[in-house]
Amino acid sequence: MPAPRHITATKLLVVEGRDAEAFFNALLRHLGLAGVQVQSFGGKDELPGFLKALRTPPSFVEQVASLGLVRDAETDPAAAFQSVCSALRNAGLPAPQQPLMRTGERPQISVFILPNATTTGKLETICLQAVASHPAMPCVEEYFRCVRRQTGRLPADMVKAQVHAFLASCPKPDLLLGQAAHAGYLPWDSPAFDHIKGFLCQL
Amino acid sequence: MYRSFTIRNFRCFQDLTLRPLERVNLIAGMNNLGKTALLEALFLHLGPNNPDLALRLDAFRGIEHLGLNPEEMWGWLFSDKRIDETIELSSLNEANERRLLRIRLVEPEEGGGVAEGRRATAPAKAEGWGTTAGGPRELRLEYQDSSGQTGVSRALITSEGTKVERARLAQLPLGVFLSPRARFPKEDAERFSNLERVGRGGQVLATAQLVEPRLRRLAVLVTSGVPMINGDIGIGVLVPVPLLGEGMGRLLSILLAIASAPGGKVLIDEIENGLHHSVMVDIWKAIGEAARRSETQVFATTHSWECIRGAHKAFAATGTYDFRLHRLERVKGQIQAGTYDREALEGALKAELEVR
Repeated sequence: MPAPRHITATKLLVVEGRDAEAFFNALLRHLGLAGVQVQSFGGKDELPGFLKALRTPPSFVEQVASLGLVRDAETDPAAAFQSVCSALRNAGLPAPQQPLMRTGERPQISVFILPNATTTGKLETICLQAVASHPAMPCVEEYFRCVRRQTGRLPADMVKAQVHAFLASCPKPDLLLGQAAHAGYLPWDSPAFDHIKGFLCQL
Repeated sequence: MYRSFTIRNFRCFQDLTLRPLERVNLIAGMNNLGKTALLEALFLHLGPNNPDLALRLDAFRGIEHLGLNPEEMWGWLFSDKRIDETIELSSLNEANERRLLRIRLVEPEEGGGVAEGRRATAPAKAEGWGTTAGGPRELRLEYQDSSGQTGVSRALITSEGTKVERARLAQLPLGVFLSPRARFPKEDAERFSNLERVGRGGQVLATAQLVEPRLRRLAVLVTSGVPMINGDIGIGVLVPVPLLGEGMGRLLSILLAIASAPGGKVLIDEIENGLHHSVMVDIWKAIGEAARRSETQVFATTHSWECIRGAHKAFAATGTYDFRLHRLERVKGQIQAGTYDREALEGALKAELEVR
């Protein structure tokens, strides 16, 4: 088994899955934001247990000054936000009244619902927006038009499928999104990342 | 069953409360955070009229007292060796009934000696007497509980040795301390004999087979006047359990202690010692079943991730998750405990957060 993780930073960002963990580590590095520890809480159903585990050590309040939570809106950003708030309260932590608003003193807690706190989507949504003008994207779109013509169907999750197709067009074609972020395949200067950058800077 | 336990001014603890407690409690934490000391506090609390236990704890740790220096014999019981403070060990049970033990190192009362209603042990060795000038030389144990029962017991150093007075106290739960360093094969043999007498030896055998699948039978044999549990592994002659391996002896000691302490507490230091990680889930299942059957409460310490994960899996597989993990940490110079319930431990293990 890998070595168990210790919470060592005063700023903690918890995100949905190991791939998102790699993505946010790359983005934080790009922003030059040192001192933020990124930790995956697994899948959305695992957030309540994770937060309870995080809150249980008596050292938690001493150690963590700022806690940011990021999860996907999927089809309902309001429900996703309420789900995070419910998990926070279940762990004995205060819940903010709305996304991006900070609550509590130690730690200060804030929540970001991807892609931009108010619309449906996920991490891949902003990545797709960021590469919309990339020269490979017309090829990606044509690929899926061809798939539909030839098979009569499309993947269930088109956003993920388009991101994977875009990543397959990159020099190293087999990287996951987080690995691609570290490899420099995402244009961090795109306005698509502005909301999440602002959230990270306020941690 | 204890629902909470509080320690004040004992060993490395200034003020620690474990709450809530369950049928089976596993204590984790880094080195030097007092996991063993916590078991020792429970052990003293379970023998509130037995001043000898303090020295027995030192023996478990490999410390021998050759002289009769009260500060060396008992001073280390006190937090930071502040012998002018009072150690307080208190428990609350399910009915919110409190048992409190206060331990102090004091000057003997005038005419101190064997009081009425108490009994004195024979004087112990007097070597070293005379090297200690002045200072408190009586370890006093003051006990009270919610029923109104009180009692004062003491160990007093005199020029003739150590005199012990024990208060008569009723309804004390039995406590068994299993140290990773000390083995008591005679006690194990006696406990196994008691189980065999009522036809329950098979319960232990089935679990012991997890560690030694060849094991067919256990029996107490007396060799050179010493009773010892032996195992039949099909080689034509019974083998003394200590020769079957560390894990086998350890597991038998644990199971026999639980079965022999109905309504009491079994304290197991470094429970994973000698046990392979692949059998931990089954061993925890067996410990849980044995503890429920005899209504024994178990407190164990560990450094092992596999041991914690095994316990979680075993208790999650039962209808009642009567298990808690208590992790000790030092926060602002004081040792505190965080208690993981099922949801929190599941979350920690899935996210691979440190819980050892």
